[in-house]
Amino acid sequence: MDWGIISSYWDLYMQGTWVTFKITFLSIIISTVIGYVLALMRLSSVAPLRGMSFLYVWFFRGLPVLLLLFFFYYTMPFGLKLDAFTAAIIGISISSAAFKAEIIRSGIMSVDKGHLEAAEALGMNPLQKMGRITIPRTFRLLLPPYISNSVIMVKESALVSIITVQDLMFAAQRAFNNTFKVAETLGVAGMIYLTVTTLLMLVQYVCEKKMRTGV
Amino acid sequence: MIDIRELNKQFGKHLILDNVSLQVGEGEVVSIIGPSGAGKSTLLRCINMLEVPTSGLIEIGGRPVAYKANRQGRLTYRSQFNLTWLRAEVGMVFQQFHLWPSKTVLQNIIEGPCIVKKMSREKAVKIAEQLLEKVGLLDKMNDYPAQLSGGQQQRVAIARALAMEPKIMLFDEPTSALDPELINEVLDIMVKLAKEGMTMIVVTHEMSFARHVSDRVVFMEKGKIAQIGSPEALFRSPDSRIAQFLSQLDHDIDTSLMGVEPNHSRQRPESAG
Repeated sequence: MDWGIISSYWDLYMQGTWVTFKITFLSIIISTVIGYVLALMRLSSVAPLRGMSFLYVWFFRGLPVLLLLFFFYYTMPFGLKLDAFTAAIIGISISSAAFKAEIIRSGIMSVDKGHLEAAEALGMNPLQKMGRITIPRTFRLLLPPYISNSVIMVKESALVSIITVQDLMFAAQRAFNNTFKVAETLGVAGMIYLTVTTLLMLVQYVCEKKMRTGV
Repeated sequence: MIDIRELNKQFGKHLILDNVSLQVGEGEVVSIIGPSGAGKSTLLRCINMLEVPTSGLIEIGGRPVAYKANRQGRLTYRSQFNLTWLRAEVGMVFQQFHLWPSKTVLQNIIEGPCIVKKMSREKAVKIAEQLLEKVGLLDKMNDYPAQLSGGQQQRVAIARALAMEPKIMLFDEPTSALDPELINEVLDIMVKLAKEGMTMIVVTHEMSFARHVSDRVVFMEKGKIAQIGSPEALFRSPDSRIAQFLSQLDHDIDTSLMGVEPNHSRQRPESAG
């Protein structure tokens, strides 16, 4: 074991970690928004919206993320050329949105109808009901599956190294190729990934503890 | 104040409300009684459009309620926006309270005024404090619903509805989900409200409330108003259906069944071993 070699690659690792963090963070936000819209479409009374949402989930949930990443990086239609970072965020967001849509839909459906009726009886319009009752409530109900999904996204983001995004995995590979020290170079990357995912679980723990008052 | 004419409500082939007409004057307290499945709750929920009638006319304070149902039989998106005036005038109290569990008592009460009426927080809190004083729960202001008893939760729910300063209050079996010893604390508040001149429609199984507090009692059966009248007249009615319904409310225990149960439960562990 020669951990000393890591020090000469440390900057590369840190830059990679920052890229991984940016990709994951942005993708989580974008996929949440898309997922929420898809979930609402799926639950809407307008049949075409329901159908579109169903098709989206069917299509993008069934395709490998790697395939989507290649598609957005190499073969965008109309001669459009995306840089690797943008293609990575779009690919991961679009794929995760399909999973998030299903999680969020189940959350919205399990909001107590009585809570919504109470809001309606007080005169809240549909938008106010959504903003004041449904969304806060679904965040509570959804936290555990939602964090799980986000942990998966952190790990999925390692795939973007294949389309030349210089993330943490890319840094680890570079270090490995130059030194041929498997345990050290990949071990450090593994520890950093674990740190990030542990942080997410801590977020879940803190949120759950804070929300315990109102079941 | 409330004018309901020829109201019908159909679920598939089932006729839940069959040509119901009812007028309620300002300050009047009307109790609706009757066997389960008679359409009492549906009638109440039609008044503030939580349930959309299939046909019929409803006027609140002389203003007709325009409603339109979508294919699922619920209020259309547009009607929901247009009917906020109705909900502001008509308060509703549910059997299961339906307090929002993640909001404190105070937050539950000021939610309506702040969000729907766009009232300032200070003003809403002031109103909420007055109402909590009225229902005797000022000290529970910062508790969460789960920390309260059923009776206390229902009192908060009443305060929440009153915070919108409605002209009419609808009560949908407000004491049916409560332990017997908690019923009176809720009824007391309803009596107080009735005395203050609030227009109230109460679906209830509490016959003493129907008898002593309401101005008129409606007896519903199979989606129709079978009888309507003063409490004295209705409770002494020679109508056999009413008499039968009232007699069923006395919880007589069939003594012939006793003696079977204990034996049965004593045998169980032996057969299991």
